[in-house]
Amino acid sequence: MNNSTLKNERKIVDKIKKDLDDLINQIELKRSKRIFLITKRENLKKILDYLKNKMNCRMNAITCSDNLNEFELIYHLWSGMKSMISTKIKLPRDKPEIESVTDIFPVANLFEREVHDLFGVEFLGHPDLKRIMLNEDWPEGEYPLRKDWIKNEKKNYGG
Amino acid sequence: MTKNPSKNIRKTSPFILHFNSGGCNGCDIEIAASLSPKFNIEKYGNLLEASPQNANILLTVGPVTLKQVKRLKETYNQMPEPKCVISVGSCTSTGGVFKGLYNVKDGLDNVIPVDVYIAGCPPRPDEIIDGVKKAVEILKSKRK
Repeated sequence: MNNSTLKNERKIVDKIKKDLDDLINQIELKRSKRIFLITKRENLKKILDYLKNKMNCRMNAITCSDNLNEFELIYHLWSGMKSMISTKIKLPRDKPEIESVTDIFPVANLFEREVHDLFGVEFLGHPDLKRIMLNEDWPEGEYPLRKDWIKNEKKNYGG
Repeated sequence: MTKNPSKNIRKTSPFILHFNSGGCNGCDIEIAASLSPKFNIEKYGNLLEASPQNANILLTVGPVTLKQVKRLKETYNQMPEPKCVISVGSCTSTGGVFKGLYNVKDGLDNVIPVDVYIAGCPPRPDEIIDGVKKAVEILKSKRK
């Protein structure tokens, strides 16, 4: 990795390291304009609050992935300093609960509804966690993007 | 009293309604091409109509997502008799690459009766025009 090309990214990493050293487990700088912060779910809100108010970040997306042991949520933020800062957290599969971040980023309302709809992650404190992607008569408790989900041929999935 | 001329016109040149239910827009572009001056389906009198209450032919695109089923049935029920349904593209006819997914119905004939199937991914505009001409013939036979 060429040091001179990642000047801007290293500046951001140094600033985050100085201010949030005790909250973040690991910082990954894989390529240009891509910074990953790995943290625990208790620290998520403090980090997003810092990124919004001090780094001038905006939220682009919340993504979720399932590796059969845990859910990995990634909060993608675009910083004012021309790079993507993504915060990764891991949730246990038997109790996927996390505090909602709608009070910091109002746009997270839609992203959280989507993740709740397809993966069944509970967002505590969300104002209105109703369906957004699936049809209205889809059965409760079925989350189609979980890796262990299988379509039950006898069940009626609506439509 | 003179004979109502609109009766004859509707026999030969019924209006078309275009409905997308989860397609990738490839077939929609071909339908738009078949309406444009180069292929020109309008020279046969088959205009594109925005309201289902004035159209007799339904051009449907896409593998029918579960969320669209309710809306598709509502649109179909609003169309006046006789009506003819054309399924455009392989997704609409069989499910195509979307077959077996959690959110689709695997083809239009699981939802409403279909009269004409057009194969292809996407079908060429001349094939779409051919399908519409066949649908006009079917409409004539349904009117008797």
